[in-house]
Amino acid sequence: MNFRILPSSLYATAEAAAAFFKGRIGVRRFDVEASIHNDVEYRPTLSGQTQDFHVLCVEVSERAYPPGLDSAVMDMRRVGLPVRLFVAMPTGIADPEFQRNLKKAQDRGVGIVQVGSSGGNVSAEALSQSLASLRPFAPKDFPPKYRQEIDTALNTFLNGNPPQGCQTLYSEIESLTRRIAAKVDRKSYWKNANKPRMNLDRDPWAHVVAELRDEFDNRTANCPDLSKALWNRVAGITGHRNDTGHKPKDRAARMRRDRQLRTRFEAAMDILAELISAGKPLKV
Amino acid sequence: MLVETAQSELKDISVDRIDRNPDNPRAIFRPAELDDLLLSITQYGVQVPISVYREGRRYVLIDGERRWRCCLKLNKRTIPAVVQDKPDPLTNLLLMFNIHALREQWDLLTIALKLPKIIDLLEQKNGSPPTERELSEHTGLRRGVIRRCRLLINLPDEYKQEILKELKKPKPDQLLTEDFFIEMERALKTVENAMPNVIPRKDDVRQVLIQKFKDRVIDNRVHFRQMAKIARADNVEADRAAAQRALRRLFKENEYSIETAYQDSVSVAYSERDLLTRVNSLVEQLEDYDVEALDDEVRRALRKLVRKAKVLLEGE
Repeated sequence: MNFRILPSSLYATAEAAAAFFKGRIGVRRFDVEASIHNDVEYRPTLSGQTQDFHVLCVEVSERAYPPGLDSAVMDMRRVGLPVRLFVAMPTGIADPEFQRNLKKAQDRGVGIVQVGSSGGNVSAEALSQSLASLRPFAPKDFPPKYRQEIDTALNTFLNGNPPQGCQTLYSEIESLTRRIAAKVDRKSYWKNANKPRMNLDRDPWAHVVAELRDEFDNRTANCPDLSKALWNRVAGITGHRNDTGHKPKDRAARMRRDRQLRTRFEAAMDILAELISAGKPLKV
Repeated sequence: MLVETAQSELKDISVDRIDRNPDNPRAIFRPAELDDLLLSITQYGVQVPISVYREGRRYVLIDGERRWRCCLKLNKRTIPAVVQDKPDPLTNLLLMFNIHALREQWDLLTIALKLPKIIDLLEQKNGSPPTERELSEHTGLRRGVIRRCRLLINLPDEYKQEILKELKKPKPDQLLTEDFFIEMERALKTVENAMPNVIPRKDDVRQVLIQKFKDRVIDNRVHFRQMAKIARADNVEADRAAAQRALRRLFKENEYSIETAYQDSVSVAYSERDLLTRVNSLVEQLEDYDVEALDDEVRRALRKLVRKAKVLLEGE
């Protein structure tokens, strides 16, 4: 490999990192100090394409989070590039601020690996930057009984399976919807005296939501926030419930898909939070 | 500086059409230094244009390798550059020495490794090798720096490689530095001149001293100056045989430090000479005083001195 930027003391680390990632992720070829996108103002030491159309970037450095990486990460997110960015450090060199840098890297979805002639040791996994730009959500902002599922959804989404992350959230919203419907039914909070002729547990989620939107008497139930507008928003996501999507065929398709899933996930989180809050008086 | 000025123009040129100068004496770029400049360029851009010369359709760097590397890293398309005419090989080298050596601290070995080429080129040009003064004028290096470089040039290759390896480390982590070798070589040179028979094989002695430094038996490179003082035992009329014995032990025994060798051989003689110098200086100073000019504090101190001297002399 011919390096123009990397200090010569780190050449061996770069070679070891390339060998490590070829073995671990199956990247066939690495570009050296090449531009990955015109709008990303950073040339990582190594970059290559993975089988699933991510760009694997490896920044070789003595520090776990070199200065200058922040703006690169921001650029990658702004552009929506599906980049998995690792910092490769030589084994045996101690970064005096390792813990602080590790935290910084984890917060930004940047991976850290220490490499040497005997292989590599991953201290933090890299997230796809096109997904990691997700608006920050904290499970602790939700009631305890929802936290575990939300945590699972977040981790699944960020760790590279965004469709499954969305599914987990939709499942939680569907379950809450059905619990609300059941309670409404038990308490007869329907606008008309006639109960809906449907199985609230089994019938399609979209039908249950439509029924709640049209027939639920939120005044009697003392739940003014469970409004028609909110049910319309829930109805809007029911179509995605079982949409696992197709595998992207190239990098552009991946970028489009990641952008779409990020929006869906954020919208679903917002709806879940609103639904929990609006349905509180029903104690479901 | 004796470099002729050339025609030049300022323009933005593509970072990818620039090559580093193979004659750049600066061979070591430490990551931390590049990181700092990277942040500065991110914030303020390139404030000072780099210097290049044209080579076909590409450009070769004269000055500004760190700025260029940072611009590449930051994926900048262009960089402001002063484009000069292609210099001849000697001017090329001298330009870089004069640009860099006056402005920032280079690693001495990297300068040292390029000096022989400059000396050769100057010899070709002038018909005789340059004197130290001429070399200093051409390169912009102080004569002391040139002498230090020469000590490094004369080191066997394995030690030069050792230094290059160390130089790639951050400064605080470097152990066998250029300064260490310079101090050691200077002292060995003195020993070789004053007591050539105590150094049968210089390389063996180097190995022993390096190992002692690594093991902290020699814990400060300045102690090599004491080694040179042992070799100059004759200057202070110390026991030459004792000095030679101490040096031989020093070059053989792993646990024997320079400080101990100094104590065992010439320490007393140097202390005496030091005392003698001070006494002579004091006597000279006292001759300038009038009795009336002495204040009470000085009188008291002088009386104390006389008492002490009497005790010492009566004990003879």
